[in-house]
Amino acid sequence: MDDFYRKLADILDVPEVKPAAVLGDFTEWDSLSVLSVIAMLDSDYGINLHATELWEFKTAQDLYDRVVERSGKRS
Amino acid sequence: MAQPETLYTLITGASSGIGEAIAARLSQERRLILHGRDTGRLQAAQARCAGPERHLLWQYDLRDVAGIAPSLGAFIGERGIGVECVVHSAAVLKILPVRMVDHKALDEVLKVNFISAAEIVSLLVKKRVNQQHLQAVVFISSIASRFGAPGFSMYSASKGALDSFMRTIAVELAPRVRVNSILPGGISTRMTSGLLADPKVAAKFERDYPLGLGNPEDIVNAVEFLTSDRARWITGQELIVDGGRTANISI
Amino acid sequence: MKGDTASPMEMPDRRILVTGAASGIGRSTAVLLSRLGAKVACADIDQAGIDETMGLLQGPGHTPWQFDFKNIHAVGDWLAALAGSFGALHGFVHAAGIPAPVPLKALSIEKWREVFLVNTEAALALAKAFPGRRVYAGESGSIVFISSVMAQVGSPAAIAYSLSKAALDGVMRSLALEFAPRKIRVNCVAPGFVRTPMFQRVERLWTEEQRARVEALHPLGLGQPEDVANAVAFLLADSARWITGSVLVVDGGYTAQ
Repeated sequence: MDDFYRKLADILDVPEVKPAAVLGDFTEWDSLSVLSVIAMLDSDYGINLHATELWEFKTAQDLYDRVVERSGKRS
Repeated sequence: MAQPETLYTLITGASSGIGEAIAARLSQERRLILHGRDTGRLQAAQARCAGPERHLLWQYDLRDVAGIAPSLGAFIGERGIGVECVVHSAAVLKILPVRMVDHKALDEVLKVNFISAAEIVSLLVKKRVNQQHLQAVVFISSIASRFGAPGFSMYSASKGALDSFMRTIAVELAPRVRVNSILPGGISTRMTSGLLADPKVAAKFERDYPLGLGNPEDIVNAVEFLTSDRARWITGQELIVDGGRTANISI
Repeated sequence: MKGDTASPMEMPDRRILVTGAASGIGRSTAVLLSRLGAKVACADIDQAGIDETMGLLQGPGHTPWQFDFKNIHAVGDWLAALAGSFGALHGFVHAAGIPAPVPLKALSIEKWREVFLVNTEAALALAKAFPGRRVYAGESGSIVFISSVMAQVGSPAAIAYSLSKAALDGVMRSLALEFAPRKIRVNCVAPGFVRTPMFQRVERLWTEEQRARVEALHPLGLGQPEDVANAVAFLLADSARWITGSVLVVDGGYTAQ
């Protein structure tokens, strides 16, 4: 679980991301970061999410839950 | 007395997007060597060409730059053929913010987009490999070569390298070989589908492109022109084909 | 399959105005366009030259229209009259132009203004009148200005010419943006040193050594008017339907080194 949030923190260029954090509140949550997340989910979790789906998530936890649901992994 | 060799046009990245469309058009008048990474997709591209049986398939992963010369050299040597024209359309698009760029990511982008092209041209201007058959080279570059866009640093660098290389070899190899680049703007293909799937990005494209987004045929027309005799006096040039995007600074 | 699709450079029954059609690049362009199926209106100050060009065109339906482009205020009405008689236009090529191979200290204000008038302002006046209902055929249009590598590189005694051509490149871009909503594309072709009567007038002023040096600076040697005509036709036709706001340099590699 830590691993996912750590990777997300790297992409968003912040020291840490808490599950309850609202994605839209991060200054770096933009088209570029969305693409980086898509690439990370593809290479590290083997799942393909579309940009439109990513824009719909409110918190980091929401995103994480979808990742778990689609990949069956907990990390 | 040796038989005169049959001459082919090599298209890298021929199994998708722009490369496939180029293959379909050039197959009408030329014999092609279709290059790609995936044999299945290559065969599908071949089936879409005019006179499919006239063309050859060279399956190869361009990330393995050390093996390009041996593989392509053997391919044409074994068949006793020559290559008169190369269209380098193979490319990878990796979009990353600068803070996530590293040499590993750069490695792949530079290898496929630029180094492979240098290896191929170098091989095909060696007399013992290809006599002096090579006459025309076209690199599919990108407007990203000249203009910056967030996330495109690696892609831009690789295309910039390609265009600089193009300009020098055009001067060096003249008058026998003409070398030019085409710089497409945003075109809807498999490579760009991820980028364009984002509605915010798609909306920006609509606004920024005076003539709207392009399709592969627009690039094909430019390739056909530059590789033809009609362009016999054009070399060392970057031809921008982008629906007016880079001329645009309208608010 | 071969033969199934016409080349995208074919322009069956497109009506195109070519200025400067009496000689050199303008003539070569008019001839090529006629071979690609277009109907050409040939304009130039030189009536005899136009007549000679008309004799070289392939097929019927072409028309001569003599005009002095220094007559800039009359361009709009002239173009409307031409379109009224010939038919609505799908594009035009401004190949009319004059050189002034004179160093600045010998170049009068009147002379450089004259060069600018014919080379640049006439093009702009034609562009201004082109989108009008009386002139433009409507569905898609293409305008090509013959610019020059002298817009991008410099040389002594090319002051007036460089001025006029650099301005063409600049105005072309904004025109491309302004005309895009009406599906009119605007581009420049920038030739290097091409064997035309205009070039010969300039070449006569050089020494043998200078001539040899210029030739040596061209990786592919000096060019023929046909080489430029091919690039113009490429940009005029549907082969370039997604190209606008660009400069296509046709110079045998001169500016690449």
